[in-house]
Amino acid sequence: MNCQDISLAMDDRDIGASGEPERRDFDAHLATCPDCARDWEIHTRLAATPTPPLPADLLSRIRMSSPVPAKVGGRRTSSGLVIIGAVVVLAAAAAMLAVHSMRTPAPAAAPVAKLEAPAALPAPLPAPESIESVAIAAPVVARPEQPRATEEESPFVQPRPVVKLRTVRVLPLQNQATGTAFTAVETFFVAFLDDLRANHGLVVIAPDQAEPAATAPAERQLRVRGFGPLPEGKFKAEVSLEDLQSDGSYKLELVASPTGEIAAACADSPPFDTMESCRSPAHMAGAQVRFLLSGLLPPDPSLQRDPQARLLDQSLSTNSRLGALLELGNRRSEPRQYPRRH
Amino acid sequence: MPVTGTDQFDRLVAPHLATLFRVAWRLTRNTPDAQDLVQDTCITACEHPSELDAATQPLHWLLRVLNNRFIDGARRRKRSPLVAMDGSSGVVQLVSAEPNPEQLLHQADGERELQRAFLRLDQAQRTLLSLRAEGHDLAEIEVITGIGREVLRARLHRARRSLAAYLNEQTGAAAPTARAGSRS
Repeated sequence: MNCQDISLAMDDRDIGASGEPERRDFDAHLATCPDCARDWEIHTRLAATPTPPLPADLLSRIRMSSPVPAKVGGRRTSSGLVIIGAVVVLAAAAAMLAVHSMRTPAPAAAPVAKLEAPAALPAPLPAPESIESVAIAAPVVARPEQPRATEEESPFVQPRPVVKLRTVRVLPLQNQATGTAFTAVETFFVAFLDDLRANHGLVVIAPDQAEPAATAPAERQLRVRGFGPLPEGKFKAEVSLEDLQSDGSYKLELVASPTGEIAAACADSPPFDTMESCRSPAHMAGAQVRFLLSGLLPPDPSLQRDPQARLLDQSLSTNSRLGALLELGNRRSEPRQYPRRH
Repeated sequence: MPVTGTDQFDRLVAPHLATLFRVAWRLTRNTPDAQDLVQDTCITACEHPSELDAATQPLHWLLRVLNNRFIDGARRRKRSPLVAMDGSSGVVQLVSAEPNPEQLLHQADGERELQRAFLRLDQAQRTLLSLRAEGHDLAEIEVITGIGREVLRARLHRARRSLAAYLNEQTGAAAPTARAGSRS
């Protein structure tokens, strides 16, 4: 068994249910490979993490908050309750204000009242029912919140993400393709660079940059190699990600070798929601960048710009501006925050 | 013909409530948020009865909704409050074989460390590790998350390494090879 077998087993199988010989091989490899042993430990610890039992009242709470037969669910009901409660509270508050104003004569009218009708002062506290109604109505609105630990209360606060400048160097393209595949690889590389640069949370050192930027230290290094033509009019772009080590060298972290179509018939603008809908060089580049950014090269949040600014920035590519527009649209269509339903 | 209303809820959602809650708790690591997440998921299910009825695997559909709600909610809140792992969280009570107080203390410390490191992962990584910890294989996770198999493998690998690195940071162990992202 090698590291890849162990990784496959951890991702896809129940090791405990495997046979004795396989289990022995597995244990033997773990004894000799600290990295796999660490991964295995993580895997088993996560699987063994005890979870609390299903709260007994959750089902009834869900039924109360979401009237199941209704099409629109519980939000409107709960918001309706809140509105009714708010009206009751406002009415009660208005009644209390009225009582208060009747007990204390208005300053502007005071001299006239004193002169003309001193006996007509309002009776004290004429509406005790209103005060009772406040006391009754309040619990309907102010449902008890479950105790929640705040940052101040919690003994272990969720650590804030470490803000770090993400710098990645893109090495010159190694295009080993020929003919039309050569052009496709070139297109892929240009689009790849553009898409990387469009991310403002990432500092990209491109191969065409002059000194000293070209030799500045980078946290990661990307190497792109192109091959082709492959059968069925395809080409291959191999993207290697290398990680800076403590001794200054770079260590291979990931290799992705997607194949694309040299002359793919796709729409012009790359999709934002799927990686597989089109295999043209530009689409593949976009997919690769999204993949890298999603986990391996997460942009630095402190360097990310507001989508409004990105939308208006004409120096950005159409795709990144369209992405900003979509982001803005998503923000505006986010559902309103309703009170917690307990 | 799709069955709607209470029947549909009882038939397609209620049986999976415990699983949904477990996954939600693994994602959020606190009970109130997990309850909210399950509740939101159920409301979404009620809002889309035809989709739920058409799903070949209702659990996978529900988990997908739960995952999306979790990521959306995390984006909105930008942070996820934690609850102290006191007696009420149920962690200690679930430890089997009646460990002694020292073992309990050690175990609770270990759980806290793991929890703290886990919460440093991004939402996507948490989702993958939680689903895998719940025993879902790659094919199921692929259906739930809509992410391709190879990408899933890479992300799972990456998530484990990140978690290991965070744990190392916390325990103060100097382990340069366990740096997030380094490959063996």
